[in-house]
Amino acid sequence: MVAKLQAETFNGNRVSQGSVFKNIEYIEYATQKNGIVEVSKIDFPLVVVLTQDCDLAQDPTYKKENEIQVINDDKRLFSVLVAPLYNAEHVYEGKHLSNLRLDMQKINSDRKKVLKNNQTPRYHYIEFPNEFGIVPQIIDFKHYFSISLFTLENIKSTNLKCHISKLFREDISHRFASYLSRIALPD
Amino acid sequence: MMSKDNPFSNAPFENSVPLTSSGNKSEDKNITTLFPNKTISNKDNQPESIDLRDEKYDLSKPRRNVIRGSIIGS
Repeated sequence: MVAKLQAETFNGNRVSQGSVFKNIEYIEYATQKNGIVEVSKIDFPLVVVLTQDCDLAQDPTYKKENEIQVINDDKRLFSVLVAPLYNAEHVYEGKHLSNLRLDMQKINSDRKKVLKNNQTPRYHYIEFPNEFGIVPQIIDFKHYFSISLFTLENIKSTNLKCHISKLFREDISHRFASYLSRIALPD
Repeated sequence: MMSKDNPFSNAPFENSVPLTSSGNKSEDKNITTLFPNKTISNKDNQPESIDLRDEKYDLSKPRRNVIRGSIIGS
């Protein structure tokens, strides 16, 4: 039985680990030739923030004026790590990236059960509480990317869906770190 | 057919509405008219009725946009 995670609509007034944003743009490339600029971007319906929360909390962006004056910019972040959330049913069918003309591996019923128990290192299955209106999702740790904190701050009021509660976000963070640090062994 | 393992068995189907590309419940209710209900067989050969109001048929997927434009000014 898969436990539904806990999430909140408000968790302080900042971007935090476990924040779920909708409609996030990932810039694939930006070129300029003969005065013509071309920008290619991928729009991800949902992403979750993976950056350590202490790093986010220490960024001077979130320092209040009445707090201890920031001496320098040592703690400033350029970007935060996020990973996309895909509709679980699309992932099972291998069609979640069909709009990008990518044909992904199908997941059969045996592998689906393992995935839903979060025993597949690459993926993290999550079910949101009903009130958020989000269907079951799968985080693909292989598809992580970065986005500037400045951008997330600017769109926070319109694109922030919810914050995954602490216990569940730490589970995600721990599994992501484990996946990222895996050792590639020869076949 | 719903099983105990079905994560959607507790979903509020009666009150659910279709989803948009943003992945959340939307105001666009006309999308259901595009997809009539039909019956298929799943991998276990158990007949299953598809209700496209069902949240698991969220059509949101990542998509690519390419923007081109000229630089104005010097």
